[in-house]
Amino acid sequence: MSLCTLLLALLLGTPTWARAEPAREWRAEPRVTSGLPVAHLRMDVVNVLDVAGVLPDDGTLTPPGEAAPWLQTALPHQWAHTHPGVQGTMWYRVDVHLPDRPEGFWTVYLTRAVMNAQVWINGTPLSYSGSMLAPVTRNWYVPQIVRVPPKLWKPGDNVIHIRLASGVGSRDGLAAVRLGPDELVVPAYKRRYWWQVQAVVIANVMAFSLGAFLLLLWLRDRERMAVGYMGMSAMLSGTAILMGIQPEPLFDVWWWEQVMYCCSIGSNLMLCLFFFRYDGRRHPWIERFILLLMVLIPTLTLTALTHDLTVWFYAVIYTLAIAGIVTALCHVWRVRPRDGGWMVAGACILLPAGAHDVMLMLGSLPFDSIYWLYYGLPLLVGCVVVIVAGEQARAAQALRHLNQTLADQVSAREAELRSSFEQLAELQRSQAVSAERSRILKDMHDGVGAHLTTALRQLQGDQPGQPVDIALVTQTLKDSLDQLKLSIDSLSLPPGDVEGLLASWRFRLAPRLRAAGIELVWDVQRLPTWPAGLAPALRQIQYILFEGLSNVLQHSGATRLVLSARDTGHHIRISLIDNGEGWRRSGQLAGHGLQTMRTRAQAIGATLEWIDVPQGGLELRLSLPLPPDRPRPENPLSLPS
Amino acid sequence: MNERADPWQVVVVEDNHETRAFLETCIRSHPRLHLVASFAALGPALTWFSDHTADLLLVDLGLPDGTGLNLMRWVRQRWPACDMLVVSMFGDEENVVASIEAGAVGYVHKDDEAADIAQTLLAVKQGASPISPMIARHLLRRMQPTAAAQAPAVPADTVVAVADNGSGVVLTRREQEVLEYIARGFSYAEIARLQGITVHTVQTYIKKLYGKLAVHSRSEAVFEANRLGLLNTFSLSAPGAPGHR
Repeated sequence: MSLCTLLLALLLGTPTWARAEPAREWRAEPRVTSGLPVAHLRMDVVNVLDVAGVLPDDGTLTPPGEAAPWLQTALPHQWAHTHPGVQGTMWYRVDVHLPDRPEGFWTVYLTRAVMNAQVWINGTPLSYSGSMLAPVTRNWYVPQIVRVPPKLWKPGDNVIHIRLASGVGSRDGLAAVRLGPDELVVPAYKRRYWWQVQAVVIANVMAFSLGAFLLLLWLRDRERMAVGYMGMSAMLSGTAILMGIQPEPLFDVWWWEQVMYCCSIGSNLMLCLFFFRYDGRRHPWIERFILLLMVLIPTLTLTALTHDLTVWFYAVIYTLAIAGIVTALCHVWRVRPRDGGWMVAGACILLPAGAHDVMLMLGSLPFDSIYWLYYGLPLLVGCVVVIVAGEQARAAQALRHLNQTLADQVSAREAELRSSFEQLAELQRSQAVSAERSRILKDMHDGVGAHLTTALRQLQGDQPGQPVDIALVTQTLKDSLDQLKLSIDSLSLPPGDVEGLLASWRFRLAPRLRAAGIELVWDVQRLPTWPAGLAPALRQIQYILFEGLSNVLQHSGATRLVLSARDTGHHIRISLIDNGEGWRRSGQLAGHGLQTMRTRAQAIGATLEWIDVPQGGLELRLSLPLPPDRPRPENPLSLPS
Repeated sequence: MNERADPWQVVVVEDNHETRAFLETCIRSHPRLHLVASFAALGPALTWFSDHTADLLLVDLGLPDGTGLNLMRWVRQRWPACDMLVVSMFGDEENVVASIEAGAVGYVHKDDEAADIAQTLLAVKQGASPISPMIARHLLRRMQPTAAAQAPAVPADTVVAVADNGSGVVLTRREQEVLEYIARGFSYAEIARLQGITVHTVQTYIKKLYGKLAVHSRSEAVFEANRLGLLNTFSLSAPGAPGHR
């Protein structure tokens, strides 16, 4: 690689070679006076003066005379080539021949004069920018123009002196001098000024800002180490470059140069770290080595910096950088990540730019070339920002998509649940309806149906010709209607409401008792809710009590009937006590539906007993079990005891 | 108790021929009752009541051209002195409560004995109202939220309208107690004995309660009357207003 070659060349101390730019209309001829060739200028072009005499200042800070020992040299000229070790002020002399005195201003244009320069025309000093004495204004990368009034020129021979002041650790020297009419020279100057100063400032301020942005991203998400490295590198390189082209340091120039140098080194090392981290993997040893360099180089720079050491440092750094770039490019090649092309583009910008600038430093390129890295680094930062922006955008899109998918899934699940709830509720409703229907059917079968059938049989008679027992049929039909009314009442009884059931029983059947002349004693106390008392169970109690009353009316001959109901704690005890003749007299058990009543009682978990009353009569006792340890439930109607 | 010598004027509205005939017989056979009109449908009855009145109205709910509730609502507006009883097959909650809200003060069963029906009619004119424990329980259930709304933490007036389950009826303590006894199956005589009041007082409590229920549903009745286009007729021929005929 050219870069490595150049680095080696630098290490081996190969002398650089200066290359003269092709001169326009340049013709030199020996002169007796200064011994330097005279350049014959044309009035209508930009003349390029690339031969000069050079002589260190003798301390007077005035141009040496014609007889002084001028050393003829080509421009660009670097002091190190002819006067190694010389610091301070150097004089350049160019003899020119003008066919005529110019009518307007002519401009002397110095594309590069390191560090600062002053132009003298025919012994008259002209103005310069900043300071020519220490600390010398750092105009090394700022192109200079000096406008010369026509009266200073004379037709024929003229002498141009350029006084050059050296800087701290600078590559002092002078590029070929341009000279010509204002209107031809100034546009070229402006172009160069734009590219060397203004655009560099813009690019690197942007690079610094983007670097700060990347650093912020890393601070918010420490996982993305590569982004952090790039951010720091961009900020450091932006700082170094902006400091580098700043003509007037804000503090002591020596420190200024040191800080700038450290920033530059730091930036390069961070860039190496970025490239090694680009694939997301850690290379612990490399990273440790780079971090060590980051401490070592500034320390050595401040304490024991030598030229050789600097060269070594750069050799190591650039080698690392190239290795890092190769690693990153290999990752792109293998994995083909999204936006990998931007990484390749960044590398394609950085590598040639780096090589170009190394060559420039080594003198392989024209002395007044511009540094490509001043643009290459900001462009690389731009590429990385594009990559990062892509990652952000894709992550955000993925998140949105995920959210959308989740929301869709949740709403789909909700809809499923809702529909299955609805189905369940519908099922429950239809089950309830069906249960109610079967209960009513059973009721009609056992109650109205049975009575109507009986009434029909009674009307038809067992044998033809047998007279119809009207009273019997009427009673059967009344039973049927009463059963129907009880059944209707049971539909509106709340579950477990035995009290309501008894009240309804009394209301419906009281007319019978009145008709039979039987006195009813109502001895019903407050009753708890009977937990097992669902509608079918309550209906069974109605049947039992109805049947019990029928038996009393038909068979007991009683005149008084007590309905008593008690909460015994374990049971709800309902007693129907008559003062009739009891069992022994009636003597019929099976015929009175007693077995049916018992079966009904068993079906609802209750016990049914017939107990002889000592004073005569019979007690029908129905005991509804209450669960043990039941909480005392509030009666649904909260009636007073 | 009642000093009136004339028999009570009774109107019967019942579409079932046999039942109507039975009811007519009940009334005709009692010297204190006089049948003034008998209808088998709603329309003729409404027409008749627009310029006739009666002391008692016996009305069936399910009439071929509409519900007896509409007739009761209108008669209550037009002739407040006319006591109305609904002729019910079973005396079931749903129909009886709707009838009470429409202005009925009681009901008779279609299968009641003739004498019982006549007795019920006379008792109504003496200030009684028949009620069953099931109806009482239903009414108590409706009142229950009102009792809850009287809890001190809750501003009573804001909650009653919501909490009384739409009945909007407030009972006195004595009325509530009487209703509760009825709900538990006690007879009027037993209640009177337990409460230390007369049977007649017990009966009037019930009639008052019926009145409260009916008054509450009056706004609905006005709406209903309006809908039927009856309100104009009523106001034109109202007492004090010039008659339109």
